Amino acid sequence: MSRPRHGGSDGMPPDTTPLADASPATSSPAAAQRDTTPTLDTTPTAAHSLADPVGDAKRLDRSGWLWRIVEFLLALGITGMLVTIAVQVVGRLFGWSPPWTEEVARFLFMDGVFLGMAAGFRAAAHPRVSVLVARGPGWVAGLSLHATVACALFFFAILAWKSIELVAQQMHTNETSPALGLSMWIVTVPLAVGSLLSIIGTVQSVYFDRGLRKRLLKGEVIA
Amino acid sequence: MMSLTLILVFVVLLALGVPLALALGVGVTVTLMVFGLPLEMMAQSMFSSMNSFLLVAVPLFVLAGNVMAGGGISERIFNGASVIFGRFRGGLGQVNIAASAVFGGISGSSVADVVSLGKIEIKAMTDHGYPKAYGAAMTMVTSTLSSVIPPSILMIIAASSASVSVGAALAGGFGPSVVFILVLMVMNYIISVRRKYGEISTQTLKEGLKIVVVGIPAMGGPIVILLGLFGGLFTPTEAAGVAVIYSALVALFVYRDMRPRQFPAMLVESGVTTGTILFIAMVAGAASFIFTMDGLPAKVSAGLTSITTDPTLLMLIIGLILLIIGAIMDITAAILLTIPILMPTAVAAGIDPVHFIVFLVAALSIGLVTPPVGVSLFATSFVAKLPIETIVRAALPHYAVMLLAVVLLALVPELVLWPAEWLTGYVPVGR
Repeated sequence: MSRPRHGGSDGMPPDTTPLADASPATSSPAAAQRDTTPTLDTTPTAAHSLADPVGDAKRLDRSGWLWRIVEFLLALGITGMLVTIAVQVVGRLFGWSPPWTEEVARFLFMDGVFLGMAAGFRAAAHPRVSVLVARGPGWVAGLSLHATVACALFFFAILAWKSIELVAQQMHTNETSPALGLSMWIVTVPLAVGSLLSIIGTVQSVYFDRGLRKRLLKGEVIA
Repeated sequence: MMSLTLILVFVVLLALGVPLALALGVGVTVTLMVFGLPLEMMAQSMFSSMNSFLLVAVPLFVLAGNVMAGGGISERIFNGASVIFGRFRGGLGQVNIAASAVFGGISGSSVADVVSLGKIEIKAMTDHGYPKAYGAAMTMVTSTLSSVIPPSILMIIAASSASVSVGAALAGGFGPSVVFILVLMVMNYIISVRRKYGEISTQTLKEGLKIVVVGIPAMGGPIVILLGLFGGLFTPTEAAGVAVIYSALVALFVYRDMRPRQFPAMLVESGVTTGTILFIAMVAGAASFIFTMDGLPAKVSAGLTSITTDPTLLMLIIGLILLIIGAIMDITAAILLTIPILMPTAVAAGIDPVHFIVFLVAALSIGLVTPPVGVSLFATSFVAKLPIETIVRAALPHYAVMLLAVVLLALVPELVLWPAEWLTGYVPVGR
């Protein structure tokens, strides 16, 4: 249901680069009807003040088991990167440079990026320019949300299809990584999974998460 | 035509409020379809653009920033800096600059700077006789330091996409850092003296010493990282790992402000943040491929060189273009789209690639703090709870000196090239 502490109040992550302009004051009842006259009032409201950004994470875990798994894999992936890089640095101090550390970190990173991208859609954290949504006529806000879903469907369906083809091709040619001898298609699967999850995440954030939808319609900066 | 189609679709969707990276992705896909090009290119290019060990540094530096903010490290950096610089007129303004410089020396992210240090800085400045708008403006403009001071995430992304030595570009970042610090400090001093801003802090020597000693582990972070990075002890990616581990150890065991159970949430947040930054990088890579295929770099080059072939003048014109693009576009996308289009012209005119990359990041970083699209500006507005216009008005003198700094960086390549030569043995073009 609504996620009161999500987004603005639970922490602006570094460089999430929210692109939107600040929304006009939203506390007045008139805001519901959308004031079409341009206003200079860009005071950020309490709703999206960064009350306690520090260390309080972008929690997706109120959104069901699917995203809890994604969260878990993300945390696991980054921990894995940290551990392998630590092994690499410490190992070199002792004259031991295993060839696999670089490869493991890189693969964990790639898969983490594809899942993080999807989680970003669930949290509506991808930077957007919402000046028109916040200050334009009311129908723009609704159109903006439908357009976002349509774009996500179009783009990620094609991306998923093409990455599945890429997986098939890598399986066929039996391409393996140099150090680990790992089949490359295993690394590519998360791109397909991330694409499909991005569609689910976008649809959920726009149509099924009332709190988030409300904030998107106001053109708030969500990060 | 291809470039035009892409840009048109992108701009329309962007204006509609579709997430930037998605709008760009749809633009690329539609262009590929309309011009009968293989769609495989999209998946291939997205996959291979992420297949880079260097970029592993991004989630780790983001995580380091989160740990510093959540583990009380930012706060100690600020306290330490205020003892050292707080004794002069406009002192807390200088503290703001120094603390951002130290923070940037570990985290490499401008928005992280505003969010974690900003609250502390704005409160301290307001409590000690500075107008809130001025404190907010200082917090905002100093956040650009994180984008240029090594180990800047943006510098790593820019240098790796341009196939320029990442070490040299990071080291070259010291140039704009020093110039930004100096012009901002001078401007802050002049304003504070003229308008009689700020009280002078009055700690006893003993109190001051105590705060500095407590701050040493926090302020020592950049020293560990920069020494390791430029001393050849570790690569940028390894430096990012070390930054996380160092910050976590200090937060957990020295300051004890963080509990281990806070860590998973920070990991998840860093993963999501990285996903949003690098999704832009993925599609921007594919888009720039289309621009290159369409011959856009050659057209831009022909256009620019018809105006002038003088490298210095060319740099100034490019600087102007970058300031405009930086103001209206997200910085990651701006970096990745402008490099393939502008760099061939610059290099052909005899401009050193490292000078160009560092200059590009520095010029675009100003877009972080200017309207209409500036993420640090928005973040500051949230943190300070002040309208954007108020902050922009208070920051006007700082914008002016930062523009001056960009001109200086264009005119004096040595500002960038000397640190790159000294620290990494980089040999500039034409020497």
